[in-house]
Amino acid sequence: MKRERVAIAGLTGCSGCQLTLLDCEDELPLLLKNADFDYFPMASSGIALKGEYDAALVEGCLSTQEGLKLLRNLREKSRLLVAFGACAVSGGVTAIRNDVPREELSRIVYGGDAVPGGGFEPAPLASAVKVDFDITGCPPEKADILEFFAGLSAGVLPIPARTFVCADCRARENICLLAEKGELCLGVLTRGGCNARCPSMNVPCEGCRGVAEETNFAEAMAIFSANGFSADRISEKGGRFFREFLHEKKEYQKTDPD
Amino acid sequence: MKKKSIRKLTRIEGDGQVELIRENGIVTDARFVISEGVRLFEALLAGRSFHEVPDMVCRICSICSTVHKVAALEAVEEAFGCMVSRQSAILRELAVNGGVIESHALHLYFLALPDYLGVAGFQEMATTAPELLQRGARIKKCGNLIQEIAGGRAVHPFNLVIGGTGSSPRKDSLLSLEDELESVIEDATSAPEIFQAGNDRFPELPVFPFFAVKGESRLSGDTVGLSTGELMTAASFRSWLGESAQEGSCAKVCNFGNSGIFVTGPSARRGIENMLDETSSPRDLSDDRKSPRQTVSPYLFNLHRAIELQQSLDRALMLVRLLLEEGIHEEKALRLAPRKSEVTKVIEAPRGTLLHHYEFDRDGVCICADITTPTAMNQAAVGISLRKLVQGMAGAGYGEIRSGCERLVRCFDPCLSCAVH
Amino acid sequence: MKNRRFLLVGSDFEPFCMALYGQGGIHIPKICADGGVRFAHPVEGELPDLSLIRTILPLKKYLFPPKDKVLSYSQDNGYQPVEYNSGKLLIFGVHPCDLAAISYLDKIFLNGEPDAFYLPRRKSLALIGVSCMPDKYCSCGDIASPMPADCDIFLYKIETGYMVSCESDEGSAILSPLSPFLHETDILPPESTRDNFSLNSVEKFPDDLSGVSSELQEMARSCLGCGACSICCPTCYCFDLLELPSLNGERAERFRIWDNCLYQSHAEVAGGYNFRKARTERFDYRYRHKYLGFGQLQGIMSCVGCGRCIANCPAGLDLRPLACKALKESSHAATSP
Repeated sequence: MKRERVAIAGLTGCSGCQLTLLDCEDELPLLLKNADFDYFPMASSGIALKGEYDAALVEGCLSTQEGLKLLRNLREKSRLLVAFGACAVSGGVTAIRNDVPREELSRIVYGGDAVPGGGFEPAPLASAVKVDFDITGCPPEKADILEFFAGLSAGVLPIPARTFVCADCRARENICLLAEKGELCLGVLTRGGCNARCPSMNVPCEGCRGVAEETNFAEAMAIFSANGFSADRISEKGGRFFREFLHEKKEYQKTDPD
Repeated sequence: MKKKSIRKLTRIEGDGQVELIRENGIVTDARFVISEGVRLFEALLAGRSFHEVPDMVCRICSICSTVHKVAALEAVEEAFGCMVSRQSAILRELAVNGGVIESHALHLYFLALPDYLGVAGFQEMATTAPELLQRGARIKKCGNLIQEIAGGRAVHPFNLVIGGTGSSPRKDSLLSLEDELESVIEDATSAPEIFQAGNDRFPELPVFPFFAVKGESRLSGDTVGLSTGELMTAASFRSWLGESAQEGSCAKVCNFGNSGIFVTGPSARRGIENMLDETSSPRDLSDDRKSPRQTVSPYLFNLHRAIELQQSLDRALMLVRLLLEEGIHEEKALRLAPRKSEVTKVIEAPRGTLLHHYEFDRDGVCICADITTPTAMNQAAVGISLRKLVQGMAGAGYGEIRSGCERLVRCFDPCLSCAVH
Repeated sequence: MKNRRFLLVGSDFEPFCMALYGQGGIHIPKICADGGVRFAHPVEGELPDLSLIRTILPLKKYLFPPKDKVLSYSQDNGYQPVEYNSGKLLIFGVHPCDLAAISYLDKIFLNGEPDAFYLPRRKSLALIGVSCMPDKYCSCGDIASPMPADCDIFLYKIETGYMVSCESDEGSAILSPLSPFLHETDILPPESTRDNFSLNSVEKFPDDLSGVSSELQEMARSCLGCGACSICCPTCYCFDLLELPSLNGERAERFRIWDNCLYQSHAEVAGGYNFRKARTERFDYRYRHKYLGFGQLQGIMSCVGCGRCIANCPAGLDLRPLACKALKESSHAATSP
């Protein structure tokens, strides 16, 4: 069988998506049989982008000129470009203060006027290149990553989960942290497929898998407020992964899928 | 004519480079450049509620996510005068040790071992040294399993919450973890032997004084012990630990007043343990090579990391047995009442001492966050070591020097996402 | 013992249960450690809490699990069906609504060619029903499915304990060894404890919702679209099929997973066309299924009145007032000149 040529790259982020791939310890031998990780600087010495790639998985948000250059290069050389994890898909937790000029934030941390490395506002990959597939989550579920690679060998893309975390949670017969315990659980807005990992351990969903295919933010806000949560609290927690909770000046539009 | 060539560093976390200065074709100097994009976490936290702090800061770095989370949780709890239950404290210590096991196994078997074997990465090891790779993968998986059981997930553990834990682990998962740890401890017995060799290929490197947290448990406490014999409190960190922006690097560089350049990490922990407690540690503290005194050379970092991997496995097994012995209780996380407060927490991350400092107003809004990471603390030592290495290798070819530099940087196991954050 | 009734005095309830547990696998309704009410295995000596109103999930979790492997593929053997040999499981403490729901699911999955994954599971279940007192979310007495509350044994709560009615041969087999606790009686159980299902005739709900379109829209506006109602509904059985290849492409597994009519994707077809893109359309559809029935079961209401959809809706939505208003509007329209 043909080995798929794969590039794994990280832009600005925590490397958690790449680490989750490396955390598939049981599946690594099989993964390596079917995929050739020709470019994977976090785990291998090669640093040249050689030839064409069947897929490039890019973790992290776009926030530097170097990152943009690498991303464009990978886009050009790859049949499939995958936004690997929440930062790549939406900008992630680092995009929560994009309403403030970068220089101003940088001054708080570094003192000077210039942003070190000339960094700009964290943005999703799709703000610069066409993205063919999203692997969501902070970090993504191992199963999502493995499903992508299985699909790659089979010549198909996985079908993104259509459920809500809320529905996954009910299917596991958990008690409802929002309705029954009055907690700020974002499962009613969040794309499922994680098998309600956090609420199943009694920890409210923070929405790391991003918005579900159709959501009702107005109603969710009303329920959260009725449970006694302040607008600030809702916007802070909701804003970690949902741009909809932030009143940003800039709207991120995903590129058309076709 | 001076020429700069930049080489992207591989097999480390994050984005960094080694910059080699060549004069008339001869390498004369080297610099460590951290180019990871700035995310400005400290600025992102300013003005946000204390609720946000632990869940946000663990996103600084995936490999160190557990220890960032625990540092922030303990800081928030201390700030508002809350003590978590004994069970939660044990679970956190277990999770932090799980993080050490995962991180060390990743570094040693996946990132560093290719240097010892002369291959490009784990991909080649799968064919040339499959057993070693599998052994490393088993140890790493066990570190992840610990973090999953205690923290809910190996990366960004969510079950460690303000005031305690979301839910308690089940007895049967702890029992299977006990079995797993027993077998993985066997896997790790050969680690020091493997990582003893290999780095002797370096020319003479500088030696550094060191420091590590000194506290009740091996990895956390309120004071920092220096190899010079001094003890510093976490709260007074501004008097002994400076941090400043440096041209050309995205990470701030730490300084230690006039005391010179110190290093932090597994070697430092073993050294401080040795100085302060000569009798109780089980792993060969009497051997100078295995446990440094006064100063340490980067040569020995991987050896000490390998020994510490065993220590963390032993400790984790001890904690799991303790939990089983005391019985698992269903507990509710405590609710905190915010108050105006300033707090500093030090804890040992896999790469060395990690410091979290926060100021909260009376409503619990974070008005200042200051995070200093081990890689920032080691940054100066990396720079000096590189320069010394290049001098020591005078006459060697460009490729050889370059790969020597890469190997040397890797010895520090730097985490560049942490360093910049 | 079939079709006979017995008295079980309150003081014999515990030994009766313990003797019953001795017969093998059993699940009871119970409040678990986290406060959730579920059908689950009793811990040592634990009695079923027959006062509990509703479990989070109904019995479909046993018959039609959320993610069910139905086929496995390998290069050597092609597609092979997954075979189920589930052991006998006795469920003690099932309310009439949940029993009616099983009758409904039986019609869906067992009529004609029986569903190969439902049938063995259904055969392995023995059901002991129990009478109950409805709460504010229940609608069993007013508007609910005409499906019979079939079971093997039914317990009517009476003042002195329970009246045990043996409803099937399997029920006989279960009760025979328990006869020391049972005293035959020929009196009827009190009227208030009898199930309402097969007794009440259900009125025909209108299929035209134009009279309540503003209410329908209002509900759709408040709906979060999370689908929790359908997950917890004892008669929701929509499913999707999903095939997952293995990493090396040599094997694959096909799963039957719960689908959800509240999701936009539910009515999406090839080419991206969607029959029910708007949430109002999906509510209309849900109303039709629950109150009118469709397909082979057209005209048979599928709502059994268990109240789970209301109890589990994060937005507190309740379809009942809509249905009642529609009913009122249509009867009003029918009687007006």
